[in-house]
Amino acid sequence: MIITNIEQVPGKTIIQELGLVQGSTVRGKHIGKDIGAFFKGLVGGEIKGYSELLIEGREEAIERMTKEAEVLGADAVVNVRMATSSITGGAAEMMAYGTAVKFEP
Amino acid sequence: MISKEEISAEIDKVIHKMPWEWLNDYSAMSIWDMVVANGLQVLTVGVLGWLLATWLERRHLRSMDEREIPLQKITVNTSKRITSCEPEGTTLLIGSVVVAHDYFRTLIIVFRNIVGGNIQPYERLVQRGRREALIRLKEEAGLRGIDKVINVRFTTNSVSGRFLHAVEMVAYGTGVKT
Repeated sequence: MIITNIEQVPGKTIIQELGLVQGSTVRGKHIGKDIGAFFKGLVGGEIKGYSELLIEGREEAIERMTKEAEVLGADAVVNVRMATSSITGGAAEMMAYGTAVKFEP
Repeated sequence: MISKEEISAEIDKVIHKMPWEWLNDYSAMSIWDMVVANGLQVLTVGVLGWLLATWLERRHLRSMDEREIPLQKITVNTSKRITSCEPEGTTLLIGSVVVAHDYFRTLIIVFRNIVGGNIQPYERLVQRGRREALIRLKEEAGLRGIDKVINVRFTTNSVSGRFLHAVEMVAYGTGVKT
């Protein structure tokens, strides 16, 4: 499955648009990571626990989007956009959405 | 055994005093001494954190300078079309980082924000974060043997944990193998 955030896939011809596909996930970390983040906050800088959380979440969102596209029988997902929102303390929602397309065989 | 009269006498002693005098009979320290002592402890931890944060920031900037050198051959742009070459493969690349200030600096910012204007520590933080996100994007491209990333977009999200508020910087784009 090819994923891009431009309108086409370079080198391929799109013959059919299969519609919107999207995947989202809400993830939180266990309280230990939050306590770690609290102590990291004494000196600032990168908060690794949260970086991991958001990267894992984003991967999962993209995976879910890809699965949806596979069900539709798509070859690629183009024009992918990402959104993040913080739902509550310690949890974040990741969302990825795009257009599923089919190539010329 | 303590009699009822003794207990009520103790209670009378306490309730006829002002709140800041309650601890006077029970400890050598007055409540104000405690406030001062704890305040000093908090301030010491805060200032130490601040100094350490400044040192870590400089170290991070130096490390980014070094990491950027081998990545210079990867070109990044925001256009949606490829002009120079025929591509072989395409993938979505993401680089992200979560950064936060130390608590002491956050406190300074709160006071600084009363008058408004440029908040320089925050400007530095978001610039540093964005640079790191772009470097991570390029590093991922380098690992996959990609030398061109097109249509790069930046987003900034505010992340709040149970105790700490941080900002997430994301850079994402389409990597093309040429």
